[in-house]
Amino acid sequence: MTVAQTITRQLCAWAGWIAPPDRRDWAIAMTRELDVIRDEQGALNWALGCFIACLVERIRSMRILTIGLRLALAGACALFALGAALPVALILAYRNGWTAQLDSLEGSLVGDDYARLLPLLESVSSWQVGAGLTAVALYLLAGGLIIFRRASASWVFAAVVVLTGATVAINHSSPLFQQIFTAAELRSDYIGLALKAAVAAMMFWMGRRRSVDLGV
Amino acid sequence: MPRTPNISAQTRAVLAALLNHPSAWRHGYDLSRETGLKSGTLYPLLIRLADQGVLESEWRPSLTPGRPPRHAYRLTRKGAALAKMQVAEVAPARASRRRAKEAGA
Repeated sequence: MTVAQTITRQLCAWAGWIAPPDRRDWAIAMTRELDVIRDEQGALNWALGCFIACLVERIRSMRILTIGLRLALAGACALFALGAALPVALILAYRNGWTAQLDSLEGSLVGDDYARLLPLLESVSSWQVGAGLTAVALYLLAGGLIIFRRASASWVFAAVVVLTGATVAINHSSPLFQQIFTAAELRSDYIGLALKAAVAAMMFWMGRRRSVDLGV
Repeated sequence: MPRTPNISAQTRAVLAALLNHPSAWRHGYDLSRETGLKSGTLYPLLIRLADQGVLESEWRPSLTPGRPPRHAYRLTRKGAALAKMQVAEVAPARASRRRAKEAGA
């Protein structure tokens, strides 16, 4: 047996080994074609193509991009939950006199003048605290649903984006908010909201069903 | 008017090759020679087309006695309709490109 024949045979064996289980018959189909290829170089090229095709199928079956994107989205949900939890925790700590917790939360407001927030902490109504807690719960729920590949994740996330948007709009219309926060700070809320809307759109895009999938 | 699926040139070449003999079972190597596609390009296309119900596949006895069966392919009804549509769509575009090239030369 020549070197080329040995390599050809080895590539076929690797192709069969690397192909995902549901594509094994295709790997066999590719290698069976070698029966009719007479020249050694042609057979070697064919076997190399078989190996590449099986490798492509293996990579497709691993859904690397989908897994990575899903984890990134779940991570984003966790960060959004943290972002929504911080002001709620600050309000609860202030109102209940949890001084130790308040001190540590103060530390997390890097570079922020904590004293200017005091009028706000006193005036925030309980529905706003409730909305904040609901947002935290819904972000965490959406993250969990993404991990477990539930289609409802998109709807939960969209609901929390709508809730956040409504809260931001109501808060920003308050004269106290406009007095305490600078225009740039208020604008950053809208930027954050736009980012969340973009994430929601991406989730719907990921979860959509493909009726026509002929872009091969 | 329904939207035409966006199909690559390689897929179109495979569909055209299969459409040349719509009822005949074709083997991978024959298709590769006719379309000029390497096996590493051809088979992922065939797999995708089979998954989408555009072509059907079957193990057929080898023409060489004593050899194991080979996988063969042909267009389904849906696939034949799609292939005809693609060929009909591409032929006038190619002709106009050729005319433009000839006029430019």
